[in-house]
Amino acid sequence: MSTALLAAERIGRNYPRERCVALSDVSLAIAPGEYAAVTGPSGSGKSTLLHLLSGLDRPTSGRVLFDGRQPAGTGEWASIRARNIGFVFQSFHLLPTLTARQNVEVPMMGVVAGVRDRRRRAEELLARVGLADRAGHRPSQLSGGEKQRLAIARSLANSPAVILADEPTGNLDSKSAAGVLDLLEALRREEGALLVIVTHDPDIAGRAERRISLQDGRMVADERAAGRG
Amino acid sequence: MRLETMALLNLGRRPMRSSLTVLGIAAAVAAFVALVGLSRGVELAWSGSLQAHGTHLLAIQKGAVELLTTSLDADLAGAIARIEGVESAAGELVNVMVLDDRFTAVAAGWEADSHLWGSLHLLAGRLPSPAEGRVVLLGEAAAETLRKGPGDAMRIQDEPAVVAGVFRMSGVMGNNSAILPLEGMQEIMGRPGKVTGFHVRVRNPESQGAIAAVRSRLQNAFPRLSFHETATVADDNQIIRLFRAIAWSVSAVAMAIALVVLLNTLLMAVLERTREIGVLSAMGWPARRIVGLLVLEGVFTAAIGGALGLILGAGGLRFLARLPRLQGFIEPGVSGALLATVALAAVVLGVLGSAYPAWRAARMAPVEALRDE
Repeated sequence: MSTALLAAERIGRNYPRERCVALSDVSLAIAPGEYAAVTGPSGSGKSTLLHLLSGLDRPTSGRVLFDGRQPAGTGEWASIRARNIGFVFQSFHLLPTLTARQNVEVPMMGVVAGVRDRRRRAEELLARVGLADRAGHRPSQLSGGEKQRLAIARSLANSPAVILADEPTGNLDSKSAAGVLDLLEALRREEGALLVIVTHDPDIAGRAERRISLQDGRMVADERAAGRG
Repeated sequence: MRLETMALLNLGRRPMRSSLTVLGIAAAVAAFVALVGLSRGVELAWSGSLQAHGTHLLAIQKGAVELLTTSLDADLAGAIARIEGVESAAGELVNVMVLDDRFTAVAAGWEADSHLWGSLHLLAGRLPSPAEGRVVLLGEAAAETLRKGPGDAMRIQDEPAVVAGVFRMSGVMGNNSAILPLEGMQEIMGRPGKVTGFHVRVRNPESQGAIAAVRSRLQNAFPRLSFHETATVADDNQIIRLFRAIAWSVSAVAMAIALVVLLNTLLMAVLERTREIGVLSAMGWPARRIVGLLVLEGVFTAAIGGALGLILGAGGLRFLARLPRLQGFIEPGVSGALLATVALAAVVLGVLGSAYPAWRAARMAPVEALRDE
């Protein structure tokens, strides 16, 4: 296995005030370009793992490494997320006042210097997700499937090495869900990005090269399906 | 898209709330512009009128707070004129009077041989002859308001008088004033032989330090009088200072209220947009850019409110300056300094009003923010 791009070393996350252990003693290493699914019932710690792997949250024990080293703090994590990590959320989390094109431009602010370059890149990404004719629409004018495709375009804005998707089809009907998954997988292949997808759906998990299962905050399985992805 | 575009789009999200906040700031800025402009306008009107008379120094009773009720012997003019460097000294009895029962104006009485008559540009009629007592010259604006011309009868403080002529002067106070021969004015006011002050002209006023030197000599010679240079006469006046202090205090209170309104609006915006701020954080926006976005929203709101307030305030000032009771006492207009103060105040207001909400937003834990529904 090549050097891990994203790694967790015995990480745990507990909330002392709520006396709750969200994640306990999880170690894993994910290589560049790998496609992994994190599965488990609700409350098993899937989203917590995703948040810890992206530096959105801090582990209460263990450490998270990006590209072989532990980022120093909030600022460095923000910079890593800006340049290297794209997010896709279950409830899309698009900015309602902005048009589709502007939503795709948001992650590029501070990363891509030129206003025109940002605009061009956003239009190119919208075309790739099939929303070229929706560039001027606001999220409220888009269907659920379109919203998620827009969110995928946004996650790819800075050509990240890592895409983290938290239940990306959770709010979609089965037809839109299949389309969104196909798109996400196709783009991952084209970009050569590492994709971690959190899902409680075994069918979706079955599409990934690797399946990491969590239960009650512990990792109970880490299986590889040869020749998939 | 630029950060500024995003800030403006965010303000457009709640148009009613943003508009009300802008209006609140506009009202505060308008109050500031109108009140401070009013106070400044009175100062300008007064010093402008003195400059129009060619006065270099104004002599008044020392320690007097209210100048119109002071009494000085008119004969002092001769003694003042004899001081080295003084070209001429002219006594003046001045008061605020009601003309024709409807127009309030500054009325002044001048001696027949006073140099002050030379500062009037006569448009119609004539100057009064030395023997005449109850004649009056009206400033152009006063004559227009009262619809009086040479030969017309009118009433000054309920006493009859005849209009001898109409004059023009630079400055709003002069053009709205009435001038009478000193004896006539003393008679109407019941203060024979008295004046309220002396207009002093200095010889070679252009030469460096000439006015200051004469002032110092006069001050030594007449310890019971105080001598003021035209440019600072308003500044030295206690009533004007009091008026200015009131104007600034009321404006400061208005601005403080505007600050709270802006603070409330932006804090609500931050709380409403908790999840969005989490999303920005997830996309790698550093805290300083999130702070920048909110501060821009605050500064834009304050700037729009400031611009609107400036227009309303300047309009209000013009309106006040035209009221019959105030006409002639205020030089309307917004100075560059006032404009700069308003611009600076708006930016400071915007930054202060958004600092706390932005700080709150920046220290939100992204995961908590994303969880917020």
